Amino acid sequence: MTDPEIERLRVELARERLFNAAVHRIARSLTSERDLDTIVQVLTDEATALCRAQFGAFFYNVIDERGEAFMLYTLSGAPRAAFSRFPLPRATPLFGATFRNEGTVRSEDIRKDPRFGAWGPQPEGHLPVVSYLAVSVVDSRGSVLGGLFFGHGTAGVFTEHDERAMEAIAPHAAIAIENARAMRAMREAEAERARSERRFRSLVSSTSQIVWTTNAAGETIEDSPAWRAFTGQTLDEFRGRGWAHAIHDDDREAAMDAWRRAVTARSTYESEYRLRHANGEYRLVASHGVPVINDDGTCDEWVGTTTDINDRRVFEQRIAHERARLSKLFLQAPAAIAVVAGPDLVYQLANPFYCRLVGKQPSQLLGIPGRRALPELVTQGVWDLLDRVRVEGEPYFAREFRAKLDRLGDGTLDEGYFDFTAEPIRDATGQIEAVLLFAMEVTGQVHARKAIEAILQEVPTPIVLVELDTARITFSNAAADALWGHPLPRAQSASDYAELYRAFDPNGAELTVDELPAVRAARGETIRGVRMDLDTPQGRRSVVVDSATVPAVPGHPATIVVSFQDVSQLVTTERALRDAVRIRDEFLSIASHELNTPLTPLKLQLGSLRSPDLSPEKIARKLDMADRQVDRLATLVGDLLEVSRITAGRMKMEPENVPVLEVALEVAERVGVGTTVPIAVDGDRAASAHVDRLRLEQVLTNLLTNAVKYGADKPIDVHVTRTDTAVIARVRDRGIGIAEEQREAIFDRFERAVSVRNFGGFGLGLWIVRQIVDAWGGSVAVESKLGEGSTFVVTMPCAEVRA
Amino acid sequence: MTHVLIIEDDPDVRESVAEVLGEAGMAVDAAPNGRVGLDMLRAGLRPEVIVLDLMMPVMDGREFREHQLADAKLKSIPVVVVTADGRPPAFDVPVAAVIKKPFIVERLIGAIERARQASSE
Repeated sequence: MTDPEIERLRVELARERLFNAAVHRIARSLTSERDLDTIVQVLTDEATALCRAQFGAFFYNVIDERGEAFMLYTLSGAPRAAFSRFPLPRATPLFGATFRNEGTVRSEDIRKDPRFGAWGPQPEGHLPVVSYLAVSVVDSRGSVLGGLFFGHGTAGVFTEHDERAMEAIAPHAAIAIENARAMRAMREAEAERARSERRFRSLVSSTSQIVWTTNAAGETIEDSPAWRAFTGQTLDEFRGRGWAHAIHDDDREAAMDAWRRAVTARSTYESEYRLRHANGEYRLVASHGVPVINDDGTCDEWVGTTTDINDRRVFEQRIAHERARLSKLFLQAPAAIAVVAGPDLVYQLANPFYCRLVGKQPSQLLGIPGRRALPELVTQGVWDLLDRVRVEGEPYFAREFRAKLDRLGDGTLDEGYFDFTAEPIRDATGQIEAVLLFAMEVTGQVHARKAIEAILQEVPTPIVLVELDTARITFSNAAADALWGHPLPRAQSASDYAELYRAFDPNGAELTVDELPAVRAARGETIRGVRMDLDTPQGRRSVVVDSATVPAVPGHPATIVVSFQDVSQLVTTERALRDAVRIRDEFLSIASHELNTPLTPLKLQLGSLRSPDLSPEKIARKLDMADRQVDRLATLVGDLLEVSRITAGRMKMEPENVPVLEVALEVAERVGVGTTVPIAVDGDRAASAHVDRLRLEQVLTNLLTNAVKYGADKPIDVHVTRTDTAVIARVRDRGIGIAEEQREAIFDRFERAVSVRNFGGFGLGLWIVRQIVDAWGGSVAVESKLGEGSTFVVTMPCAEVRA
Repeated sequence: MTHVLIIEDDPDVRESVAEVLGEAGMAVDAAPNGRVGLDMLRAGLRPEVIVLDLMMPVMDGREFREHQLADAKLKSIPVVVVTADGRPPAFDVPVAAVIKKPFIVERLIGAIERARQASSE
């Protein structure tokens, strides 16, 4: 061999050695590194060094919207910034051949290479490439992953040997990239799976993931503590194919078949089977394994995971069940459901109930614009209403909506009532794409309710129906409207009641809205015989309130029936009775006092008459005193009898023409006997009244006796006048007077203007006066000023003039 | 000689009680209502026993008794109440005795004497 030949071989050998070393380094990196970025960087660096290039780069294919472009993946010998202005080289004539896998491109001087036309001066800032070498990187299926590009600032750097070396390295790069991509994809998938698992694990805590490895033949060599912890197998039991014994007998064969197939084909292994847990329970697991492919394409290891999906499956089954239930619900729901979409409100969906409700076959609805499918609803405004929901996006709720439908398809319209909602359905972007209709026919209930209401309308007791919870009034009968004096507003919210209704408890305290019996009943309370008073246009009315609940029926919420029995009459009577009893008790007390008072001196005087040595004068005085007490008692008894007579309507009355002044003078004289108070009588002597003379005497005696009693010992006047139709007698004292609020009460039986303690007497006198004057057809009144005295005015009918 | 003040609005009752007590050897003063009675006491009258009616104008028996008890100089004088009220006297002010009208003179005299003795012990 010649020296030059030897030298050539020596150089060749050195290159081969370099090449082999580089390939070895690359291979090692491929096996030791699983990170794609690192692998490609090592590959680019080694390849660049091997071919003595100044710059080396790996670009890979990306497809963007403008077509193919190439993205710089790794760079060797130049800062990355050198490419910052050219991040995506186009498939130019120079690069295109490599990316289309048209063979290696090598150029001594790219500026002068006729293959690439007028390459011309390179763009400013571009790496100063003169020598150029480019090889395609193609994967096992023949698609171009990218290209390795090398450059040098001087011409003629790359040799044919470099070309071959790079062509040898390129497939390694492809495999490495593919592998790394697969690993990354697996890791990503695994990570995604792990993420899902973690998410899932937060739902069901019992899930556990088992990691295992096997040799290429699918036999376990290394321990999997997690597997053994799950199955309770010993290491020996687990080894080899022993792990398969933990699989349920019925599942084992299929699982093993799948495993054998995967191992043979080196494809991904996926299997689900029941795995016996250490506690003896079989749990559904999912096993997933991948072959680990070596750089030489062989596989000597499998890694895999086994995951407990028992709970997840249960969960999935539940979801599937729910989904099935939902669709079943939709189809079998007792409610009518339909979806209409688009400006024409085209039926997209209508469940059997809906079809029945509108009296159509599904084929008469689906795909047909609503206005054409149910034209009878056009004039009833239904479609416009639904269109408004579609356009404005506001749901619409209707209760007892009245609609007429041509359900028989013969043109006759059939009236029905429907509760329905129309809700907008939005797509992912929030646009309204359809309207969901949910309708329930309540015609039967409405008719039943109307029938009940018709009956309630006739009931004489005021009745109001209110809705449970809301306390809204849904109905009031005629008696209720009459009680309040106006039709009760329907469907008012309870918060408005404060302004509409005023009610009071029996003590007169106004009830708050929450205390109103109807509102209480709406809250679920049962109201029994609650008494309250109401302000109505006819004045205050007393009512007794009761409530009863009518349970809800489909389409109808529970209703409370509230009755308001008007007991005003009873309450008035009751009050009058109570007053009568009180007055009677008071009368008995006063009567006892008044009767006992004269009895006291009578008894004392009679008792002392028994003393032996009494002078005749003394005896006479004692007898006078006793006699006076007997008179007092007789008067008292007489008054009582008078009351009893008047009350029983047995007052005797014999009217005649009576000269009033003359009678007044006689009475004044008689009353004046026991007192020093001056009594003056004057007036129209000719005034003559058509009255009972004895009764007139009684009236004047009563009035004058009172005047003496309450007149504070001051002069008393009696004045008689006459008009065309009446004779008027005025009895005036200058005593204590009568407070205004008592002026009417003094004419009542047993009432006195002053307290019982302060003045004696039955208080029957004025009552008797009024009864007598009323019987004549006249009247009696009092004018008074406190502290200045009182004037009693008796008006009597004029004497009858003889024809 | 026992000294008694009668406070009674009914002139016939007042006069008769005074008369029979006088005949029984007592010294008797009389007032037509609580106000006059109180004025007499505050003017220096010191009876050994007061005979008090309840229902009276101007100042009734209860009010009189309250004023009397509030006055340190007068509160020790014992009171015998005479009342014509048919209902049991709802009388919450302490008194020595309550006699219902009508009554025989011996009962009143007995009550007066007992009240006098009780207060002097």
